[in-house]
Amino acid sequence: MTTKAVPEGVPVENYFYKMPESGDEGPSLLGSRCTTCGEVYFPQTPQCKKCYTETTEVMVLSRVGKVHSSTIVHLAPSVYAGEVPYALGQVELDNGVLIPTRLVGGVEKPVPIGTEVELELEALGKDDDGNNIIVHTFRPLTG
Amino acid sequence: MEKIYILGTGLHPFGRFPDKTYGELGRVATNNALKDAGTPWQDVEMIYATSMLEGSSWGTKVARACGATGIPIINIEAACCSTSAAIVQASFAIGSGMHDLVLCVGAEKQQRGFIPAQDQPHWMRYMGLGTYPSMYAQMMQRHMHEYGTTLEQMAWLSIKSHKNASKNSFAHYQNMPNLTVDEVIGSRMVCDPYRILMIAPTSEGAGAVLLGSEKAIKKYSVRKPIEIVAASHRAHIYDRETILYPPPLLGMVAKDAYEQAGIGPEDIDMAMIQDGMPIGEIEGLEEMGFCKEGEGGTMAVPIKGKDYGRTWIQGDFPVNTDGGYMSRGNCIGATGAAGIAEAVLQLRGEAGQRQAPKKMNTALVHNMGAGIQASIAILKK
Repeated sequence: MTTKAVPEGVPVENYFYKMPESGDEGPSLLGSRCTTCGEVYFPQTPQCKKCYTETTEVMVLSRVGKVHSSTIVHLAPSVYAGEVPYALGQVELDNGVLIPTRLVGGVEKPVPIGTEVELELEALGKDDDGNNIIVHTFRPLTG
Repeated sequence: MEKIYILGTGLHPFGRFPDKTYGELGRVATNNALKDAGTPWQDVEMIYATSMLEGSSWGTKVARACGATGIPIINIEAACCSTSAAIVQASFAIGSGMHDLVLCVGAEKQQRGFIPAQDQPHWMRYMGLGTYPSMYAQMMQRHMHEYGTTLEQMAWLSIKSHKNASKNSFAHYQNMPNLTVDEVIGSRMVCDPYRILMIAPTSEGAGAVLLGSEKAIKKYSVRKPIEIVAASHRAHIYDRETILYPPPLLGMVAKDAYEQAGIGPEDIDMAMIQDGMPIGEIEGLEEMGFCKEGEGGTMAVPIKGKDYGRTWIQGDFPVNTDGGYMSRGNCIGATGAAGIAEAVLQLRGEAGQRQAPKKMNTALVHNMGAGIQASIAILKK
């Protein structure tokens, strides 16, 4: 199975993504894990929202998860740079962390809750210097 | 603690008023509230002014429009809970005995389309993730998944809402008294499963609530004052990092309110519930104890053999008798004031063609919105 290549560009936030180190690997999201109580977060956070301590460390998050909720947007908000309609939702990764994300695939119906999905990075719009802006998305796995 | 009463309420119609400023909208609502209460402007001792989008010191614009009198004016922003949060503060001012007459006035001017999700970070807005319709649509999807709530049940909420608003001369939309399920479901898709006829408009307008002590009621011979027996508000609780409502929040606010009032949901005769989109009214009914968990979607569906459901004006538990956010409009800073104004009219028996026939002594006014935050006021005749 070929892993989709990560496009060239600038990440939407520079602390979001761990880029692949070899051609066979995919990218990962970088989150935080509280070393006191174990709660996991995305995006990274300096303070644990559950036990209020400043004892979080960076954690590489799992690449595959399940859809927790989803919708298809037909009317775009103003700041948004992409095409309409588009799919979005929240994906639940290992440790129960929820990722707000775009979703790859059809825009006929929302991706069903529980669908297994895998992380990809994609280009969405450009910055003022003409660089692609890289954002995360998840693609439903088949089979 | 002194008891707190609503002496009067007043609204400016909800809709689009490009030629009217915040100050002017607020002045009209304020004067209507003062007239309703029979109190003069110059006796107002303090103002809590609520707006989400207007910014600095907008409350002074209302005072200057009316003729400024040098009183304290505090601006409160709590998204759709703004009016209710202001009432909590006003209840401290009156309850402590420091003030006898306090005005809460809210207004908003808005663009068509999406309410700007100012509480969401840039990356979410850039990726198209940070809008309220998409958040509420995902909550609806989960409710349909967990409890089997249907599109048809959601459509009945829009039908009820627009029928009620057609009898409300202050409502944003008054022209759809006889919507059908097919018309609602067939309307333009915005965020699956929400169609345009299931989504509240962004409205301009204003609302004012004049609060006072027993001393003020006697001084001005106020007719039909309504007591506020509970005013509660909470802003967010961490449950897990999610863009959806934190599940415990509304239950906590409801517990605060029922304990303060010393009553339970079974003692409430009608409710104004946030219905910016169907999930608001559906989950609101469930989480404030007005129906069983999962059954919120059944409450607006016509009862067997009748042409109305339980939460219709003629039902056993009227909800959003003025049309609610969905058709009366969501004028963020004044949405709570509109809910209070309607509850007061209903309790006084003065709601005219949309008066609920049921005998009513108590009303609950609920708001929920960005933050995430939630608020409840309980009114008693």
